[in-house]
Amino acid sequence: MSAVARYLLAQHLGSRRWVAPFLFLVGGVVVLYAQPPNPVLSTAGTAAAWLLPAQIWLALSFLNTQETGDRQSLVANAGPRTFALGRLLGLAVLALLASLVTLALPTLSGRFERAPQADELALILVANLVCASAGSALAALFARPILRGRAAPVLGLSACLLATIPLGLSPAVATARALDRTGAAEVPGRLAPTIAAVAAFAALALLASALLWRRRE
Amino acid sequence: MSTVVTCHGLRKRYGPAGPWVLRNVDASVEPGGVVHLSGPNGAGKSTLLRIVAGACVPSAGIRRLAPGTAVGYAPERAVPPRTFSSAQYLHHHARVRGLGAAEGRRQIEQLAERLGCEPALRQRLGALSKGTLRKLVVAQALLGRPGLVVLDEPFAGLDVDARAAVADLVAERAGDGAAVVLSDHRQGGERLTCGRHWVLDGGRLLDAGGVPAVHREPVRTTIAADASDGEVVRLIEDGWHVERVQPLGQGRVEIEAVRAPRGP
Repeated sequence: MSAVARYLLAQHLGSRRWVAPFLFLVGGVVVLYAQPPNPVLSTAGTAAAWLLPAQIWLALSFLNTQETGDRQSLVANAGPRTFALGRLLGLAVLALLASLVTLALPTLSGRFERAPQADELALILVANLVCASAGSALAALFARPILRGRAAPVLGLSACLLATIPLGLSPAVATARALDRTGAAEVPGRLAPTIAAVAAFAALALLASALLWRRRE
Repeated sequence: MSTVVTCHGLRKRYGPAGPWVLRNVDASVEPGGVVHLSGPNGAGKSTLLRIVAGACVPSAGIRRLAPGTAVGYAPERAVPPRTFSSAQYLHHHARVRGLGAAEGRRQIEQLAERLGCEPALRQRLGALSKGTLRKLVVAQALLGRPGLVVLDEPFAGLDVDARAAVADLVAERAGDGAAVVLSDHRQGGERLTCGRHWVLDGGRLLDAGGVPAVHREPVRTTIAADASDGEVVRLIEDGWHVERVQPLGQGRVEIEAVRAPRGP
């Protein structure tokens, strides 16, 4: 499983397809923190929300990097289950890296109004991971070979992102609200329903994508 | 006899309204068997090989692999990551097969030497010729000595020497007990001992029987080894006939051995 993840991550790194979504993420975070005072949890909640579309782009580029024949030989050689788990591990690594970058940028450059405490940093990381997981799971449903073209995934994902906001289903909005104008002690209780919903959605979406992908190959 | 892979009632189409690419295909391969798959363009050969290898699932029917069997698959149109070096590409596949670093390196060097692509190991895949890429794709399928080897057009784009080397490697793997299924338009594996011949046309397997091999020749190998090396013992135990022993000095010898072709 880890060998498959290493293969896919090395391939993605070499392809440089991660550069555009990474710049999208970093650029957004830099702009967001450009205007002081940047209250710790409140601004971090908005940055976590920004992570959702960035992670969707990053995950989609990761999942679509591999050429069909190369993917099929890896599936056959590793076994479909190991390949699916390896892809999942690769996605998880990307989500973790994106979450850490989103946390590290303002922290290391001192953009918060005050230095965040350890429990706040942990909460921000959890919030980032929630949004990154939701983005990864959503991207998995729109990746090749489930959808083969370029336009369909972009349109489908944009529609999903926009439609979930008025319906009150957006994990980005829910995460931003959970961290907005609250003390660190209140955040776990406010964030818990979003964590549970995203965990359930991610599990279902990743299972569905694995099954659909096998059928569409 | 037990089978390495068994397919029963395989049907495949791409998309719910697509035409049937495979129609009720029944086939099986035994350990040590080499199957040559042929048929006209669009007959469904690559699709059948993909299913046999486990790279995709059939729309209907069953493909059963013997438990614990490792698979090596070389698709016809594989485009490996262009930014990898050849060595990186093969090392990644060796790791996927569960080979340790040292064993992986040993097998990669051995395969590269046999296929004549040692100089390419340090080059980027994007800079290689079509034939060299083909050799590397075939090599990754043979890493780790899998029990089922599936090669889609392994001889395409290869020169005569490389075709002979691939044929020898395939014959050796089959001699070691692996089941091999390969397709080849041009009968490029003329030196290969093909035990069975499958003919596919219009998605139907017209003949999956024991059609005699196209050609049969003894398999020949040359190794350089220490007298205490297990490789020598393996050769003798496997029934190879040693034809020539050449001392190389420092306790090493070069052994040339030949094995008679196996029956169908």
